[in-house]
Amino acid sequence: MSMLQATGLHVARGGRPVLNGVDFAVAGGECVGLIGPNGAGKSTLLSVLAALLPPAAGEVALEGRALADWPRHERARRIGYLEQGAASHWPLRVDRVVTLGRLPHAGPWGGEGAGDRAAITRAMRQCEVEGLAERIVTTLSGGERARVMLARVLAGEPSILLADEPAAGLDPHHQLQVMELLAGLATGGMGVVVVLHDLSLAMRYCTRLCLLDEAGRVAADGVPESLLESGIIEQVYGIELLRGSRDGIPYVLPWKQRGMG
Amino acid sequence: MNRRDMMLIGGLSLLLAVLLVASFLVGPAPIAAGDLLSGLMGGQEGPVALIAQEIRLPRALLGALVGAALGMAGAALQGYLRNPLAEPGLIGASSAASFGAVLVIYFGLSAAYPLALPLAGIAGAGVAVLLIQGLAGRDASVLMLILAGLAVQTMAASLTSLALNLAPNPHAALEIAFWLLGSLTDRTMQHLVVASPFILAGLLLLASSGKALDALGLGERTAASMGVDLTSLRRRTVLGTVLAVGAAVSVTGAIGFIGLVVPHLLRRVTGHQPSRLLWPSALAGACLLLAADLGVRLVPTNDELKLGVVTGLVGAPFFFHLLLKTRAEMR
Repeated sequence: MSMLQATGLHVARGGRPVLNGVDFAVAGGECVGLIGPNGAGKSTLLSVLAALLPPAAGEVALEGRALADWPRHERARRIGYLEQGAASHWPLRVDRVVTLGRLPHAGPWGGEGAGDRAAITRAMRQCEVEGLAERIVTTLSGGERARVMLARVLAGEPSILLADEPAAGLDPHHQLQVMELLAGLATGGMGVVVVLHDLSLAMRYCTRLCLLDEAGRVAADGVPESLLESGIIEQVYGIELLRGSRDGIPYVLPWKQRGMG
Repeated sequence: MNRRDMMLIGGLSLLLAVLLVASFLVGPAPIAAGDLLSGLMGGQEGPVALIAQEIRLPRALLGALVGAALGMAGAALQGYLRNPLAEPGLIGASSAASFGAVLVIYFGLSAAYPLALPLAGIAGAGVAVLLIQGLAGRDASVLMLILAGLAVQTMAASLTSLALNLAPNPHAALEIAFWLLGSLTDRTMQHLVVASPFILAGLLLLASSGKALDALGLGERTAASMGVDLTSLRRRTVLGTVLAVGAAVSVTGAIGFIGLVVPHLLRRVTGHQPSRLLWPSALAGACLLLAADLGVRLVPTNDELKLGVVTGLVGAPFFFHLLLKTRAEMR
């Protein structure tokens, strides 16, 4: 069963449709990659799924109940959202930042319980940031910070994780690290939706891909291999892909623009 | 709350208690501590009891309350605007609240309706905050915020000058001018009674937003995804600031820089976390204001120095220092 299901989403900005009748669903155990050219509405779709943006038309249901009908905190406990380029404004200690992730589980005056501490420790271990616990978050490198921010989301123990370009701006080593982490979370039963620009990473780590086109429609939705076979990715992006495989795992590389010698 | 925060709050509370007692015992009339205390408890008749109950007690309590309001409002505003330079004075709320209070004094309303004073202060501060939001926008840069604050301050100051200009007689003008300088002198029990409910309500509103302010430090979208109601947070911060600062300023006049200096001094010990900064800023604000008020009574000058003048003299260099630091960070 799908944990998060969207039907017929429409969003317009400045008179131009950004999402145009989008259906989307994610279930536990899936790592769904949202791909598509710039301006195709990937981040917008993620915002709608995260209840940060109400759609002009259409519905999103979480566990069968409309997203808007969920009490804020209940919803926040189930859906974790990792903002693009997430950062802390204040120079907080890393363990404090991760602790903030428990907010959906606390009352306005509540303190930390044993369950909170266990979740925080687990999240920090998963993201390998225990060693950074006493560092100041604003002094970390991009890769370290990305992991800390992911740990912040995981501390809230969401059943669904929505990540907006978590690999952007990271070096290849950290890109692979973050993607492996996300794929591992899906294997562990979480429903993961991740906006990606990097087709190689998307092909490699996602169990399913949802391709949005520039008109804000779903051009294709399925396992990575089927999208690759149909040639739809090349058509929507206007590029040619170089394909190969290593140890039985297919990979792609954006090779050249379409129609160029 | 962790042990370090407990110790900080405990230590500041202790200091506050000491300063409250000192503020009660020190004054221009040399009266023995024992007499004052028994005067307070009703064991004395005549001038000593009057001084203890009607002059010293309200002065000490008002000082603590107003300091707490300014300190916590500064901390909350900085957390909300994610800007260490935000302060009730700098964004014009204090001068607008003063103007509201000046109007009430000018028209002699405060004698007839004691509540008019805090209400006018609150209204002034409210208008200022709305203007700032309209002028600078919510995600304002440091520069826009300061410029908008300057605009609002200038307007409030001009209107106040207008009131001075049109004052019916020199005595009224002098009263307004002196009042504007900011002071705890000659404040009565009635001032305390009319202002304290608003200040306390404001403090509680501000304190209730601590966790949401923490989340806001990670960005608005992230905070919203964590279950923070951004609209309610804005209302609570604005209303809390307006109530606390408006009521405080309406009884003491504008006392600047407390809201800037206090959170800055405490930010490091509270790990830069907005929620952990709120109550310590209230306590330290109360301590700082009481200490400054003790200072003006102990410094031997012909006329007692005005409290607002002293905090301004101390606070302005501090502001310079913060500006230089901000400039270095922006590079």
